[in-house]
Amino acid sequence: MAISMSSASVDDSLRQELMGKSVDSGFASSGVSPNTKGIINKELTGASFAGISTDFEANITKAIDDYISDVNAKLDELESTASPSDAFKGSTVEKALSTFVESVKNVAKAYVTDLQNAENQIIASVHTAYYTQDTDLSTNLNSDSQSINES
Amino acid sequence: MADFSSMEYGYNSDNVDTYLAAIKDTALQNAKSAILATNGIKTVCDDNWEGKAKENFKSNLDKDAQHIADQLDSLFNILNDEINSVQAAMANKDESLISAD
Repeated sequence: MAISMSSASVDDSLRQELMGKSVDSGFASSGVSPNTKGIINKELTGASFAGISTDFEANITKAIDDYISDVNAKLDELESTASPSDAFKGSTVEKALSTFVESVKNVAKAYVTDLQNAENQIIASVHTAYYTQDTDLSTNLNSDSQSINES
Repeated sequence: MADFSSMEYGYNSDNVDTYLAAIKDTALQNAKSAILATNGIKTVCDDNWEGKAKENFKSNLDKDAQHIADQLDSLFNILNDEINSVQAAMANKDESLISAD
């Protein structure tokens, strides 16, 4: 009987399968859509370092409140700096002038309170924005992680 | 000449000017200086925050403080006008109280 070559062959089907796979732009070709795809190829804008400390809100709010206390203390010196009775005599008009000066002081303090509230609101919002960003980005990343694992 | 400090009713122009100058040059100036002294807040910002948002906050803080300082100027003008109005009313009354023959 003539000798003929064996039909044995090597199964490299897994290699073929492997070589047919490729990762497309860093993501599995099965169709993961990165949530940040729209900004991946954009030039980085903003500071190279951005963030807030653990005590960001508490520390800055305290600094603002201390600053406001100093301003209010100076406004409280309005009546003690000089008195209308130095310039006017008459018990009723003196009292009315003192009341007027106090009213002016109270309006000034109201503006200062508005400033305090405005700045503290911004700081609280910055803290919330960072927290929200942290949550949003981690949701995106977890979704992409799952998609890659399933691809 | 009568002593103003012993008067029951009246006004003294020199004292009015001194009063208003004290308010403007001392009380108002001190309050405005305190309002514009935002460095303490900005230093704490630098210690606890980094990024463009921080720089914009600091810049806006100075503008906000200047806005409040400007309101103090307006309030002083109101006080100044009111005090001078009282003085003018009393001066006019003094002038018209007795007619010279």
